[in-house]
Amino acid sequence: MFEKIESYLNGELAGEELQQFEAQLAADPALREQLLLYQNIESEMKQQHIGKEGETQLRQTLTELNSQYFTSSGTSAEVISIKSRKRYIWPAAAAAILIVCMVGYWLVFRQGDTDKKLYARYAVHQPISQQRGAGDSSRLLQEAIVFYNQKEYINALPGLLQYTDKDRSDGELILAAGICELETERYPEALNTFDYLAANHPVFVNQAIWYKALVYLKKKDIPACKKLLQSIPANADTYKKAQELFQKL
Amino acid sequence: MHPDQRYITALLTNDRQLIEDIYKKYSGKIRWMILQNNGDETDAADIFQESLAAIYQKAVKQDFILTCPFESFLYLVCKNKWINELNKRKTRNVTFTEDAGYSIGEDSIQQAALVLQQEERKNLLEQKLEELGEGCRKLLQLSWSGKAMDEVASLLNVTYGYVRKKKSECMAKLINLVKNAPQFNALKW
Repeated sequence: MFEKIESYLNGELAGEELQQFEAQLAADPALREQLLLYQNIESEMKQQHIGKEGETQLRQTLTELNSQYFTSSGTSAEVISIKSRKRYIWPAAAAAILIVCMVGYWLVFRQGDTDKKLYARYAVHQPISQQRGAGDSSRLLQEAIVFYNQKEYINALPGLLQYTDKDRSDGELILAAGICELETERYPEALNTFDYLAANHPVFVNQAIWYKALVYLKKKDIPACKKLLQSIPANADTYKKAQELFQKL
Repeated sequence: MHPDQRYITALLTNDRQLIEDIYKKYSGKIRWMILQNNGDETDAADIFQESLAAIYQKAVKQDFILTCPFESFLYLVCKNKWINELNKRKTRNVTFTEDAGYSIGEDSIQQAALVLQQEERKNLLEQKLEELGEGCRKLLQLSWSGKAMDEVASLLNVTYGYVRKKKSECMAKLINLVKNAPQFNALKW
């Protein structure tokens, strides 16, 4: 029946076949409902495809602006009344300078080490099944998967990008491409890839957020990393390790 | 056309300067609304971003004419989105005692509801597509990408006849999954 619906919507039915189908449609409300749903889903998904690239770019802008205009502390800097805090400003400033001097050394020289260790501990990437590339005609993809599983991210990246640029439907490979970008310190590209993944592959949303947090950890932007870790919901697979890492930061 | 239509255009063209204008002018009010109603800063950031993305999705799909100030429309979308989210979290005793003094026409209220309905339909379809499995997902996505079916067949290395038959089967499965989703009726397909 669905084959008939498809043919009807494509204008491929003619003559007696068309008349029969239209008579069936007139007599069967359930069939009319199926036809309408088929048509709506097709139109919705086709239009979504048209706006996909624009949405990815827009989301990039929104994510950047979100990090400027919202904070993770629960209160935005903009809404704190400066006036009400005026009398504390000088003692607070003196204390702040002292603290900055005291912890400066530690922050610069030691914290960097800690972040690096934490990154190494948490950046554990699941290998891609070798079967994935086996049935595929792309030899480049097969090679990329081998490189990826051997942690040779710089060599895996070109093959993965070539494949995922053409076919944006495979979330696992897009994730792998993002991980290669992260490991080779192509941070803006990695963030873009994870944003695309989150926007277009719902099952990978929390993985994408987790990996974005790792990008910021590797970049040593701890506030941005913590903010993302906090946004991972409790029912996500990555929730436990996100909470653990958050505590350690 | 309302002069604030430029903000809709800004979302469609990813005009960073004007989009930043939206953040400068309106993010404070949305944050305040969420913080007043059981949310935190992260919720506010998410709701603000997702509401702008939902407005984009609606605008990209069809001519979207703003009939009220962008501020009130955005507030309405964010508020509805937040109420939906609170319902999902089963938060009790949430009352919105004010509407930030906006006077919003019935057409705008309906338009804001449609923005969210479309977004939820999209989310449901994406979720069900994932459940379909790799083969169907790939085939359907290729067919929706504007490619002719013979092109899809050659990309998938199968015959035209097979791809036509398979597409109908995949659509049948997808429709079945969508219809059985608890939120199906509320989404007005």
